[in-house]
Amino acid sequence: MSKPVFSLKNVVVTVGDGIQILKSINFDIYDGDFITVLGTNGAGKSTLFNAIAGNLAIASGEILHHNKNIAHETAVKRTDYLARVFQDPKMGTAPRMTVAENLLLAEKRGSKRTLRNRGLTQDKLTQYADITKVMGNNLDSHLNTATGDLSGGQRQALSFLMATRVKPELLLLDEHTAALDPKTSEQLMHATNDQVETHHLTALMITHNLADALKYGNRLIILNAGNIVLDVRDDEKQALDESQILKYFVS
Amino acid sequence: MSMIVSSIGQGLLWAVLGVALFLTFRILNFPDMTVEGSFPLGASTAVTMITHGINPFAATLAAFFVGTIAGLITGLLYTKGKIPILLAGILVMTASLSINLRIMGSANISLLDQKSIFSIKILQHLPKYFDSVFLGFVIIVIITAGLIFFLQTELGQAFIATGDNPNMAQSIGIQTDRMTIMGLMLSNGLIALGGAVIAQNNGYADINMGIGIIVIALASIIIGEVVFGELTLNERLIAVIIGSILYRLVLLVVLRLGFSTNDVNLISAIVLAVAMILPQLRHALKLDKVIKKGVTTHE
Amino acid sequence: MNKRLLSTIAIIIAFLAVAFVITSKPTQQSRTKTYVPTVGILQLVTHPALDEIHRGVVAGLKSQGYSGNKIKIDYQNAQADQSNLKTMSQKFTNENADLAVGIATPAALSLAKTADGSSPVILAGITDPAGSGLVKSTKRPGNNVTGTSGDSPLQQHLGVIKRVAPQAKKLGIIYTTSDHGGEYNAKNMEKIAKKAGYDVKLYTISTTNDMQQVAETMANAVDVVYAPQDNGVASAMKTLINITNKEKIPVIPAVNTMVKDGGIATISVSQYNIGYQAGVMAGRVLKGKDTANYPVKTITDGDMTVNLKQAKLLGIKLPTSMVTEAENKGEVFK
Repeated sequence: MSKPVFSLKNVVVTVGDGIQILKSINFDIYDGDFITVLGTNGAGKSTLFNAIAGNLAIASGEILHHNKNIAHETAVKRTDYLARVFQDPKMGTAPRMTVAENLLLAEKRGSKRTLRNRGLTQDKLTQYADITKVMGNNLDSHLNTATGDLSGGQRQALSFLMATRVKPELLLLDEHTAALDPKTSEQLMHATNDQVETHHLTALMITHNLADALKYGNRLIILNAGNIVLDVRDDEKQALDESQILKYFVS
Repeated sequence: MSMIVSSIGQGLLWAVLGVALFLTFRILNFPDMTVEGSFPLGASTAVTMITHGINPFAATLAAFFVGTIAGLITGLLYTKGKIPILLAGILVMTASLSINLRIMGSANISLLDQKSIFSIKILQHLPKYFDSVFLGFVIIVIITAGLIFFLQTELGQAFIATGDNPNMAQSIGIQTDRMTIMGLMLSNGLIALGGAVIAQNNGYADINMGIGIIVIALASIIIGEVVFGELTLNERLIAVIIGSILYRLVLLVVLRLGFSTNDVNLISAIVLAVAMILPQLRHALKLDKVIKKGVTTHE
Repeated sequence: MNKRLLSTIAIIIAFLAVAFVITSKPTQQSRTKTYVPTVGILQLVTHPALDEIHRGVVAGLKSQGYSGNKIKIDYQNAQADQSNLKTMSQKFTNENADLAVGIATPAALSLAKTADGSSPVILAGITDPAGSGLVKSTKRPGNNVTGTSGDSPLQQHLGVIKRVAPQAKKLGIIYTTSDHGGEYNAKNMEKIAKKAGYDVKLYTISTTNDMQQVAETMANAVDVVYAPQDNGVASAMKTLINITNKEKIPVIPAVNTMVKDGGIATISVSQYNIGYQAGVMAGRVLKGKDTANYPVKTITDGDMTVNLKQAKLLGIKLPTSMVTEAENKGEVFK
């Protein structure tokens, strides 16, 4: 097994009066892993994401990126190599700007923004039409529509595209289909899986859907009360079924 | 007839304020009270420099820089000091009252015998009030063109995104604090520049010039939006300029109707209130489709 | 581009083009025999002293034959709003006013700028017109501006202070930072009072809202107060007096209207007279007198004004000579 791209060593996250949300997490992420994350409410899933992304400071421990501790790097700095899609479709796109403009913005993640013209050429638009077609919900015919006028499903699909436009070293999917209706949710899940596999992305995906957690990804972890209680990959993961998982949810 | 020309001239000069305030009020989405301080700051800087023999154009430029400093301070108070933006602006505005007195040395400096940017040769042979029309036009076109160019650059787009959805902006690597400070600096620099120009047009700088500035700037923006409705971003900037001219024309009509100039403040407030309520009325009565505040640009 | 936007721009440009052509041609002004001149009077703010000047101006014009239907007077009051001054000055120019009268320095400055060397501007009671740049010198104004200057007789005021409060050692002088005239008089009084041996403290207000607090601070630190010719202080006189009365401190103001409002006594240059003389000068200029060589009239003759009611309130016994002087030649307020 090659070296991990990301590594959490004894990471503890506390809140308020020293209540530990994450209790000494040890966790390695390897290149190409597509890890589904399950857990009860309050188990610490979102906290884990916030800690990795830099939105929450860790109380102790290290977060390593290629063996360098990034625990003190700001969240904005970490976006050089890290991308995130949130549950709320409104969070991932700029509502008054068009689909094309949002994609243009996403293209500059990790690079310096200068006084050069943004470059919304006809070529670019054609390029965007192609990549949005893949997601399947008519985004390609709305390239010049303000995202505030799009449906939740369209905005989420766009958020996903934006997060992966510049290939991130780690993609955090924070229940990104949970706020959508079943059909749109399934559509986005399919498209997500396609993109992750096609582009060989390394991703962590929080989901409440047991079926999805088992179906997608090569690795599965379950969080319970701030600890990782299960971490299985490949064949071991394939062999699991829903009833076996449920016991890990009991405190 | 001359009064209308004069109104257009004043409208063009004051449009600088509308366009400048647009950056913070509409793009960054917050009310910046610093402007009531940076406007007289620009005026006092320029006038003091001119009375000390400095070239009026250089003095006007210096006013711009002084304004950016005011914006910088507000920006730091807001982003690093975590002071709510309204208060941060008011603090800087209040501080600048004393600073202005220091700069000017007294409450009122007159430019009566001095050269100003309005003294240049070309303007002297123009018919009455056309000097402010001509110079006002040149200034506002340069500034607006500059802003339009800027807003379509990578940096400009990041700036717009910061105001539109700061969380999302951060998640794609935009330093939103820096964008906010930059916006405040640019906006207040332009407001101060406007102050310098208008002081030279009025012939004096006075310590109380800043009072009511934010309403005048807002009027240009709001009137432009209400009259012209749904527009692209670039068009909206131009609409602010026209809005400023329309505002001056409305004031002119008010005066002609026999209202005293003392009623001007009340009339302004009424005009603004009506302008802001109008869109809602149109929607409620289904007269028009909803005016979306779209920042869409088509190419 | 949006159609409405484009068409509005087109209309504005078209209008400007037409206006440019039309106003480029010089218009003939026909003066008929029954020509009625228009005079604009621009007053900065309402308070008794400036109102008195205004009354004087109208009377002065009348004395020159300009009253009733022989003259059109456009009176504008800026209500202390600086941005109104420009609008009002331009109004005068646009109605082709033959002459404008400015009451208070900012009004005069605004008129002068708008008149731009051509139409005559008469100053009514401006302190230090040369220092404000309105005239080249008071002897030879040099351009289109002249009028009356109401220089405060500061030495005489100092004399009044001595007579009213002979035991006083600490003198407080209060003025408004944005009032050029107030500052000018305050600083000059400071100079001569210091020479006369007083311990002088300067107090400033930036708006009338500050008066309450500043007056309280001042009243606790001084024995007597001098209120110079200052528009802000004049406007907030009643507030000042409320506080000084509590500490039983006499206030010697610069003008009679302020004595009426609660000052003890002063040698007052009649504001009415200042306005009257300005009105007379205006009348003469309307008849053709050249402003450039018309010296600014500085009016320094003052009359003793006393407020007996205030004196009684503060337990001050005014020298009988003062009261008699006021009764004979000046004004007595009971």
